[in-house]
Amino acid sequence: MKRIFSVLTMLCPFLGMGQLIPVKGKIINEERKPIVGASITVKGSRKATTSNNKGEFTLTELKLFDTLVVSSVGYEPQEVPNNEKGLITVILQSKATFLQEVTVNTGYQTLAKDRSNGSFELITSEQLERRQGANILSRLEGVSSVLFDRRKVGAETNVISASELSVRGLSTLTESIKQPLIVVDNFPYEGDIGNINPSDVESITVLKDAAAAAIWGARAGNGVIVITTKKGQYNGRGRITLSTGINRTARPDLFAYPRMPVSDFVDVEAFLFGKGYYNADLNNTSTRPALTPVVELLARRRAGQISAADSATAIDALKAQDTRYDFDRYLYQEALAQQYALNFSGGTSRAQYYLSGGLDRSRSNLAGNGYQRVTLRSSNTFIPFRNAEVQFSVQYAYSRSKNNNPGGLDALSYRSGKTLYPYARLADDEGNPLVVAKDYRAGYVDTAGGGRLLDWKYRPLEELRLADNTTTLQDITLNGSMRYRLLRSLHASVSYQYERSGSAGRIHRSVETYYTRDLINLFTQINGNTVKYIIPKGGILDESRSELKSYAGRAQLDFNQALGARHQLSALGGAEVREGATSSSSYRTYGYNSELLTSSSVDYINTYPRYGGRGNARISSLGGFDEGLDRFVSLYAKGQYAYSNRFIFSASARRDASNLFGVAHNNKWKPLWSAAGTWNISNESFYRWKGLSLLRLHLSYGYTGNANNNITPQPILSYISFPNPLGEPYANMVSPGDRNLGWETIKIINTGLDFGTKNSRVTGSIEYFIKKTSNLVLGAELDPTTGISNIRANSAHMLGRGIDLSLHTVNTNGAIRWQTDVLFSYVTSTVTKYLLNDSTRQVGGFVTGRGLSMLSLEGASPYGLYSYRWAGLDPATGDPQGYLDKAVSKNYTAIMNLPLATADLVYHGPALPPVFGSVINTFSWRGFSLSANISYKLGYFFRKTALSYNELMVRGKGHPNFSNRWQQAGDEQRTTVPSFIYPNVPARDVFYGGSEVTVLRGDHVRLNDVRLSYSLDKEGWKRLPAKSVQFYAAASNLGILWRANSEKLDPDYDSYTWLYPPSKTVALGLTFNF
Amino acid sequence: MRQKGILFLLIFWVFTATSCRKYLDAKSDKKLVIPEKLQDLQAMLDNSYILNTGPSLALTASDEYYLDYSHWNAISSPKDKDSYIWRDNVELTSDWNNLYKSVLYTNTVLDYLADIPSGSDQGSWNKIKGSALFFRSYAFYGLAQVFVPPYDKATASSDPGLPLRLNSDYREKSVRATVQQTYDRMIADLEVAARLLPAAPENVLRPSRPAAYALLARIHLITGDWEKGRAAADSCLKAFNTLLDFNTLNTGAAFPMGNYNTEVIFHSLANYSPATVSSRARLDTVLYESYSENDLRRKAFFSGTKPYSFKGNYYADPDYLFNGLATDEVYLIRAECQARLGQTVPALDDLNTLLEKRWKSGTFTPLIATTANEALSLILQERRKELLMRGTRWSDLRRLNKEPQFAVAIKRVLNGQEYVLPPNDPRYTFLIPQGVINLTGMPQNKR
Repeated sequence: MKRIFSVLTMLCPFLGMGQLIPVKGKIINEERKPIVGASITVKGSRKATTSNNKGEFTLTELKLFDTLVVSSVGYEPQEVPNNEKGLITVILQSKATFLQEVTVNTGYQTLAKDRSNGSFELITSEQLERRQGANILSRLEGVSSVLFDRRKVGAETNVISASELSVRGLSTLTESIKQPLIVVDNFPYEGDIGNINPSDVESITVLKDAAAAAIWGARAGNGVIVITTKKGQYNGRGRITLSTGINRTARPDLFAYPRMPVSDFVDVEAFLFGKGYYNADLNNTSTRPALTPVVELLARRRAGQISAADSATAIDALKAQDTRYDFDRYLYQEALAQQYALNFSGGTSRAQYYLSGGLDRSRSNLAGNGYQRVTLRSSNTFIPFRNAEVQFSVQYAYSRSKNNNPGGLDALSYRSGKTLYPYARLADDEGNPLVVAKDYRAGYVDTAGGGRLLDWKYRPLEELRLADNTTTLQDITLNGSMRYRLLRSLHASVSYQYERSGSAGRIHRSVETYYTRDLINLFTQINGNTVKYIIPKGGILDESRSELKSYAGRAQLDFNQALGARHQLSALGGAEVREGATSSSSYRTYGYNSELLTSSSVDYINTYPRYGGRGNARISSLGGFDEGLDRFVSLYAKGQYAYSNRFIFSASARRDASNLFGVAHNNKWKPLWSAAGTWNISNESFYRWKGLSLLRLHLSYGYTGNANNNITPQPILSYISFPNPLGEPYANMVSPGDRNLGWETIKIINTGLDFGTKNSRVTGSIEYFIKKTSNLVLGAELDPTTGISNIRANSAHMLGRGIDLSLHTVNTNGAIRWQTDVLFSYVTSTVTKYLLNDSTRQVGGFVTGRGLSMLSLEGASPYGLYSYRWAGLDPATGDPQGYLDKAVSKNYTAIMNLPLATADLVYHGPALPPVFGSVINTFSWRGFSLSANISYKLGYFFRKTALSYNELMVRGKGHPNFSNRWQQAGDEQRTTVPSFIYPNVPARDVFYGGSEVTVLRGDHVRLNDVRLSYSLDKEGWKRLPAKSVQFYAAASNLGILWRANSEKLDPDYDSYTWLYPPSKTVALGLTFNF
Repeated sequence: MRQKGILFLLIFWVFTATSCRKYLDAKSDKKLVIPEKLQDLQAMLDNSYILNTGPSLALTASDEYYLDYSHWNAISSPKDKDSYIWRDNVELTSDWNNLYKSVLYTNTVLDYLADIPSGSDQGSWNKIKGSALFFRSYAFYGLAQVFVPPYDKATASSDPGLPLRLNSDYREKSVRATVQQTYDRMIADLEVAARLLPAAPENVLRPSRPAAYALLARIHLITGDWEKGRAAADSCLKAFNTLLDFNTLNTGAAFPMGNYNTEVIFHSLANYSPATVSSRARLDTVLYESYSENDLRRKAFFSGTKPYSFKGNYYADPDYLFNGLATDEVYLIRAECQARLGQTVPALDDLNTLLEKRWKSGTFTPLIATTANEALSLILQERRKELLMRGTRWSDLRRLNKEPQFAVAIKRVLNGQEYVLPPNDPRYTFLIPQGVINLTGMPQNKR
């Protein structure tokens, strides 16, 4: 190019060859922010300059067509021809993520990612900002290879707990210990993860293989998630950042999923009434259980109290009602969350500081429920004298949640566990609260006690108004460390963390609340005209407290020495002590008056007859105490040797001991180790392939563990908080003693390849791992004659395999920059060996798990989905049919009890997706950036909730498939829904619900979120009050783009626990940097 | 510089090298204990929710009550419905599992008690050992009434009895003993327990010497050992013979007997059965009529209006029925044993002593019988009326069916369909849960 120009200049002297001109220019990055201190050199000359703090530079005496070379740390160098315009704007492209000096934090050390051995996944603050929400863990969804399993969480629960996350599949079959370890900065985080304000988080590192995680030893078996908080910088300019955000989540769409028509429900009630199904309840003169309005009407009709016409009219009126309108109107609302965060950071040559405060307020989709959080954080580091560094941080969090909603759709119940009838009205046309059935029959609560009892009716909307249920949480964490350079290459450090958090729950039920009125009435004694209250007429206050105190201390030596130009040796070793002490207590106060703060005493000792012949009972004190103490002592070491920037070898080892109860001292220590190597192929002298400028191969091998607190060789008793009926303390046997149990061990082999093309247009990594888990502890069936029907035993081996791929491409690099980030994970876990005798295991246990509980069958996924083989509906009766000893059968109980050896069990596949990931496309133009995250989950199955006539009759839970049921011969051609029979056979429902026709493919593609942001800086707009301003708008839960099931069910939010699809959320936010 | 380094290393060493054994021996949960102290073993035995329980099947399947067809249909668990009509393949796991759980508790207590020297607190040690033996026998007794064929002297040594689990090692295989061995074990253990237990009940949830004798008396009655039965009942009543005078009761109350009344020697509740709850179970009018007008049990046992439901529960609760030991039963056992031994006069004395407390003051005329057999008939008749819904009827049916003059075929009627259980039918012994058979290979009961 230059040569052509040179030729041209020689040929065309009139163009002013040799003329010297000044050149002004500006160096900016892709986000149009100035790059300070970039170097600008003129090719072939010694002229050079650097950009000033506005990114501007000036070079005088340049020849036209000279070539400028612009470079800056962290950016791809660029050559720019000098043209005649005089003002040059150079946009430098950042080097691809891993080419930068990207650091990952293991909790024990911070490593440059490209000089580390092992599988680390780094999620930057920018990626974490894609999602909103006050919980830091929820922001990992869709931007990392961490898989979220939300199937067991109810529709109204937005709280994310670590147990919903999995890193690279399963490593245990014990539900309570399957969550990854969460580390904040240096130490495992014992408190509520909700205390961490996401705006204080700098990055998250996921430690995935043994080389990365084994340093965490016995708790690293399920992967480690390290959260690194923001800090100041030495010599950093003072910065102030203010960010605000608001999220609006639409009112849930209660009509989105089909439900059983109200008229069908009423018809079923009338049918059952005719069969005498309700007679026992109608004739019950002791407890007088509540019945629905339709049954009450029919009973009055049967007793001749109303005319046939009147009852028909009344019932038709009920048929026309749909309780969802009232729930929507009164018990649900638009959810709103506001977030404010302000932070200061900076530093001098000897100190760095970071100070932040955050405020979050939200109200949930359930009316009456809300959350509020205040966080404060200060982190300071300074150099008190030569060779020493001291760091000190304080974090304070206060949160308060209100939980006053009496219950959402299907959660509001009567008679402990019956779903409120679908024609219930919660308010009249004027909005006045209406009475619905609760515990006792309508006629009874009207007249019981002849006016001497308290009002005994239940009005849900009154309860919403009266409820006073709050939980507050306070947490303070102090963290200090000191690092001292002993020798040139040897550092010693001690660090210490103290955390104290306390939560207080308070439920005040005033005398107007149903709960209190009911309890007072039950303990009221009426004798003629005298009324005696055994429970004082006043409110009931339940208070509970819990406290966590934990400390952790660590002493560590770090060694780092270069031996000559080619060898680099580093090592660290240390010891750690941790203790977490929890205590909790709860108590109840009767006769509480919130105005005067008075209370009354009650008799907890004697039993009293309950009103209306309900038997005798004692007043419940609800007092209880708990204290727990966990202690860990660990020793660890890690060594690394690098040769000539081409090879890296490392090894780590760790031993843990804890005070696990009942474990013999010798078994408390558990050694774990790992070894790893990396080969930087592209740094080899023989490597010539310029197209692929980065190529790095790594391999690791090692062991991690699962600390299973449940393993005890001796029988263990647990004292119960309340005495037995005659006042004696008593104990339950919580474990019979697992005399032969061994530890679960996890062996991980990981190999990976990092690559990047010239100019970093395509960068990424691909990893393949094998995870062998041995001696998994799982409940095994035991002869109940022993007194134990289920015992934990080392019962299986498991093999996990998988691929993690991440790819970053820059598709266009002009004015419009288009980037794509692809995440792809393939993870399978398969039980390879079942160690116990499985011939006696019954198939029913496999099917009823619904893929939600972990099971072990050789060749299957632990979260596997199983079914009974389906033989169609009986053409004569509409009964579901299965197979028993190869013959079509309707003996449901026998089919379910078949031992595994002879059963016809269908294994569909895993219930968690083996293939998942996301594709994020980002378009940027000037200050605008638009991106969309599309996620996919493939290769798995889910069981839809099937119609159960037993649920319908016993719990009043309708199902939309009712109208699609078999009703006459020939229907078996069009439907698989069994006929309605009376008396019902519950096993028939269970069989149908577990048959293969209720399983669907879960594969789907979802549009997770769309985000638009715009940033503006002072250069762009001089009158901007801040240095820069960023604005964003984002929408999430935008729905499914494609799904494999034709029934339009959402496999992640199956209506089994989710009553409505997740509501769309719109978020707006503004960030100022000063 | 160097000194600082040494100081640092010293701190480091203190951190790491201190013995951590003591540190790690702290308890991870204060409520958790290994059963090492007498107090802990007593706490296991005070778990009345597990130990003071008996089988539900003995009540569900007996002929003291009936269910309306609609009430029967409204029971959601098919196994409970089937138990009511003695369907021949019915197997209920709850009685087996719950009662063998009691057995595990008692065996754990006995195993760990063996490691505690008795010298330190001989009184408590004896009480715990006696209680554990009693509770184990009580569980075996309950199991034997529903899962083991009725006792027959001629075949007891070959009929399959219970798996007699006598230690807490769950790895030991369960093998069925014979019926004879089953009863022999209970008798032997109870005789030891009677010597070790306190002379009077401290509280009725804890076993006592009279309780051990009362259970022994029950067992001897079942095995037909009248002499020993009389002696055991006698020993019991010598220590504890309080009878509740029904004249002092408020018979109009929902549950006139209240909780833990003065007659109770040992409190126990039958496992829950949806069939026998007071909102479903109905009592027969003929049975009602068999009580005299002046018999206070008419008002104390039966609800005011037809169809009658049962309110004579010795535990004031509509759902859980008392099936423990009380003095009225012991009087009846002694009376029966005496009648069987030909001792007509003392037999009638016992019966009349009891009945006098049941009738309106001043209205009771003592019953008379001229022969022992006549007395026996009277006693059995009154036994049925007194021990209504107490769980003893099923055992009585099983043993009395062996005597042709007392044998009865019991019937259920549902929706016009009649179900009959003839005397000595194999269905008087319930099936052992199939899961147990699969896992152990033990022989199933006959059908």
